[in-house]
Amino acid sequence: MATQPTAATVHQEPTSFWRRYIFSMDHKVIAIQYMITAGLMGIIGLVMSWLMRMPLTWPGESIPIAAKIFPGLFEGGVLRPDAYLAMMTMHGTLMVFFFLTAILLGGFGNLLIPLQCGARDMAFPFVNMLSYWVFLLSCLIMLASLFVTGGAAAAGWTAYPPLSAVAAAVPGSGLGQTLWLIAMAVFIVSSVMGGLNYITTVLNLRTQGMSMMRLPLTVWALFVAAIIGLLAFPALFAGAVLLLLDRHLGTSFYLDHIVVGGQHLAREGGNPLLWQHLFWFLGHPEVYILILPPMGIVSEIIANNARKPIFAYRAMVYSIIAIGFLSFIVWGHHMFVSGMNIWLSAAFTLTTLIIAVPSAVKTFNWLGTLWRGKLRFPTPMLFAIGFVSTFVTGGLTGIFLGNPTIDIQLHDTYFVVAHFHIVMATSAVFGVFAGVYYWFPKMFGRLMSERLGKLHFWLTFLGMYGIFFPMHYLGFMGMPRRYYGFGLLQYLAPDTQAIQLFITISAFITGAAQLLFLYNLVWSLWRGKRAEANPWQANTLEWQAPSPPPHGNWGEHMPVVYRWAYDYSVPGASQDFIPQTVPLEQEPTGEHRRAAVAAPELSGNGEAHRNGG
Amino acid sequence: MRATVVIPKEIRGIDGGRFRGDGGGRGAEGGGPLMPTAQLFVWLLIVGVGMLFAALSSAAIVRIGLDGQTLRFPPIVWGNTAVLLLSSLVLGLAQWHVGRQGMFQPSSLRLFGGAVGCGLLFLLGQLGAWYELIQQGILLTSSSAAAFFYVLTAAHGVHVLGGIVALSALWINRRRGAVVRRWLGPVATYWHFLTLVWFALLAILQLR
Amino acid sequence: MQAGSVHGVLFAVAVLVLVGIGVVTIGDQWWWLPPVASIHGATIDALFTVTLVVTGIVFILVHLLLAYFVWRYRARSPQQQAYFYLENRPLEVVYTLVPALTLTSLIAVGTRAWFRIHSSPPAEAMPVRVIGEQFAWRFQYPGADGTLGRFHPRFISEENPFGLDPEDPASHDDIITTELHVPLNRPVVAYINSKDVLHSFFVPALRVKQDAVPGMTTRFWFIPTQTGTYDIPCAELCGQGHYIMRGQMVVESNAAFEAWLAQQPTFSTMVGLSH
Repeated sequence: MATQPTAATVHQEPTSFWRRYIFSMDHKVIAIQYMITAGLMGIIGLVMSWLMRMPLTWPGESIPIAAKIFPGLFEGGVLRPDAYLAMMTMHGTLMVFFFLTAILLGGFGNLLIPLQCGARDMAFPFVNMLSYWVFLLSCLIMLASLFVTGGAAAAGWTAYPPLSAVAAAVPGSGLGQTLWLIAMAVFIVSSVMGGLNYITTVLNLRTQGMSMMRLPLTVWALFVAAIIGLLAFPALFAGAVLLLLDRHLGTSFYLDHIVVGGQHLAREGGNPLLWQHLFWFLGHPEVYILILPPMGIVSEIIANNARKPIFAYRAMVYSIIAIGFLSFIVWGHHMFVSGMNIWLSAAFTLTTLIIAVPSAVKTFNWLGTLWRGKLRFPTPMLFAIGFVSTFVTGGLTGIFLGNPTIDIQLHDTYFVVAHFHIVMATSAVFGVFAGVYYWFPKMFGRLMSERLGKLHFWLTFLGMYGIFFPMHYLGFMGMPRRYYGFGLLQYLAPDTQAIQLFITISAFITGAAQLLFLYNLVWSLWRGKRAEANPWQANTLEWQAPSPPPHGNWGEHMPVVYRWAYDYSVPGASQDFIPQTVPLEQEPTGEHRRAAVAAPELSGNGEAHRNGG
Repeated sequence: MRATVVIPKEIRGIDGGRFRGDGGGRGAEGGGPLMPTAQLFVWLLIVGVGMLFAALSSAAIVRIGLDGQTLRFPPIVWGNTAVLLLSSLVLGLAQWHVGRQGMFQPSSLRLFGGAVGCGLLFLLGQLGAWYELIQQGILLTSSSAAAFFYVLTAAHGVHVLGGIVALSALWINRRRGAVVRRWLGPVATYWHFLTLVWFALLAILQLR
Repeated sequence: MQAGSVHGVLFAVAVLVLVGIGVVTIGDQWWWLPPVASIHGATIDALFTVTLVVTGIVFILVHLLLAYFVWRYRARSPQQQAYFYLENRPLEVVYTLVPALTLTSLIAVGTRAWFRIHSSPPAEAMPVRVIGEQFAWRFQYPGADGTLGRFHPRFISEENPFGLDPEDPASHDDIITTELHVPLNRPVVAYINSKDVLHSFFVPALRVKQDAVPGMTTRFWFIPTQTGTYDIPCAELCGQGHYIMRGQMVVESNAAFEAWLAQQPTFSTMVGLSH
């Protein structure tokens, strides 16, 4: 271990355009490919949500502009009900899997794991490249389903059979649903390939001195998220295979004898609940795949901009692990009213509410980090503290839904829509934005515009609350989700339409604010202020490499790590940050338990340094 | 060895040694990686594949239990089982030889080829089992036990096919000592895992 | 970097305003649950309120702390020093245990209520079958013999669109309706089935929700406490017409209920059984 690879042993940088930017095996290029592809999928998903708002806000009214742009979805200027269901299904699918999962694990996982562990690349660069191309293939299949006869899948992102199993049950349940299932299976293959790489790299390729308990929380979160994905995704793969067989080869895994459209479907003994179990065995861990990496990103950014060590690093690590473990035994809380055994429901209640504990601990630790800090507010920090607010709001509503008794009333109402959009569409997306603003200089060597970034933050922060907070009210009133219109429901208060209008206006403003972000991205690529290697004065390894890092990341010498990632404002240090590569002889460290040994001169500072002994 | 070879061989990549990244392993804990990267990769792959079979088998256990009827295996299934077990044993023997000799010698190469051959024979035999079932009129739609038999044998067969591809890739690289040393162990681990899975599936499909 | 500190102040103000809006609109019940019309519904509402108070306190406290810290500790001068502070074990233990205990109590009361709601229905409960189909609800009453006839989609035909077993004697006197009428203050046990895809039997005013699952019979029992007409929206995506799948439930006096039921034709007259 004593020796380090020299430049001569590092494989030559590819020189042709194709090998360098298209079929690249460099984790940084693959990260950018993932981010661009996932971002495009996110934009498509966003447009779909706008289309969905139209019939909800202006029922039956003609919207000629939208009808002109999407003639296939509109009839007489009005979005058709089947198109509404297709948009709803594809919006959920694209946002959860093809935008958030892909950008967090494929994008940030690829970018940060090798850089923050101190590796030259992923363990298996070829598999890594393959993972991206398979992901792209799954995107293309999923998008192709929008253009087939009958339209895209319309059974919801949860694809519950029999709706998703019988072509006659809903227009999108034809070829669209088949392509949906195939695209998901291909996506799972891609994410397993990615996950194998991330886990292997974290375990085996950390640089000298980088012990697990010195890893930045971003890597911990991505690592646990990758493990969750590896364990959970195969269940959906199994479920999808069985559903394809039910659809096309006449088996009865999910189907019993039913009558759809006057036609008898002679199947025996299947049960739709089997799909729900398989789906949510993935589906619930999946939402932790989406929230853990943003938690890691936010921890990193809050510590950096508070100029303080993250509060209770070890508690943070343990709570990430606890969340990862518990996420596997909570899936049944999606099935409280499904007819599942009531004792099982009670068991799932227990696990579900327990998983709130590590989440609460993390929140308090972020507050502890802000306390007595020296807070700077660049755009990434604004999104990070915005995350703390929205995560608390969205997390607390989960306590209602995790309680099966209350869930009887709230299940499948807009309360649920509000809950998971504040966690996933707001908190997780804030994590993505925070991460992009923070690591953009590392990826491209230029800083993003702060002026545009702050405007983007304020519009998005207020806009997201404007969209999703009022949905709680709709949920209180018992408004069911996945409805094309509410004209028949008399129990709803007459002013729900005003709330719908408010939500839609907020949605358009928030959506338009994302154009600012896109403009900022493009503008900053060419015009942004040049970034030095470490523009945020951060400790983690990636900031010790040039911006952007060269092929192989570290030049001639591998970095050697002497300390943890959170030596901010250590008393007695020459500046308020100490990169992980600075030897202990040069600067003191606050790293837990090592402090007394490594920096005896700190012992006089007992007041400021509680853990010196 | 590490003092002279800068990138430890066992953590070079799958892409034919063009691997560029090397963090050196377990950080401050010292002592190098817990296990070679290729071996770790395969263990993780086994975890993922294992979850796939776990999901399918738990569905099978519940459903076949509810329906209360099991499938009488065509007799060829027992022959296939013996062939698969044999392939694992022969591969283990080949591993042991390579471990002692440092790389493939003609004797271990013959054993290795025998293991691959047994694997192919197993797949053919499984197709034969399907053929026998179809002859008896037992189709995918006949019963839940039949449906799960087809699904589980197909899922297992596809993974065995993957194992054969990996073994064949090793065969092609049989003269490249570094590749053999790095990958023979991991690929064999995967192969033995599939043999174990097969025994588990046999038991599950006979549960009542 | 101090230049950005105005955003800390702005953030604190924004958070306070948002919390204020939340507290006023929810605390003052601007938009609220429909008035409750069942006995177990009152339990659900009580739990809802308790949970709302508990989470509301946490929501307000955490946001106040967040706003205060962001405002108070924003970087104002280059001399300002962040306080190097690693962790505080006692505090961490407290803020692990307090949520854990609070959640455990919520679980305890929630689960107790859950088992009560899903307990066996009282013997005198009136059985009624709820049958979901794309995109309507039908209701089957047991008739004079007090027993619901067998239902299975395989019995569905052009003459018998309801799916009752014509061979089952219990089904002959059964009554099938498109509206659900139930007597006031009498337990009703709904057996829920589906002809085609998943549906969910949702009566917001009665706090009733239970999926209709093809191949299974699910059950939910309740005691209506308010007369009136209530919507029964479908709460599980069931196809293109999901949003128009709405039934109606009428809670009325026992006499009115009996009178209404007596007017409904029986299954055997509807499908022309010769028995």
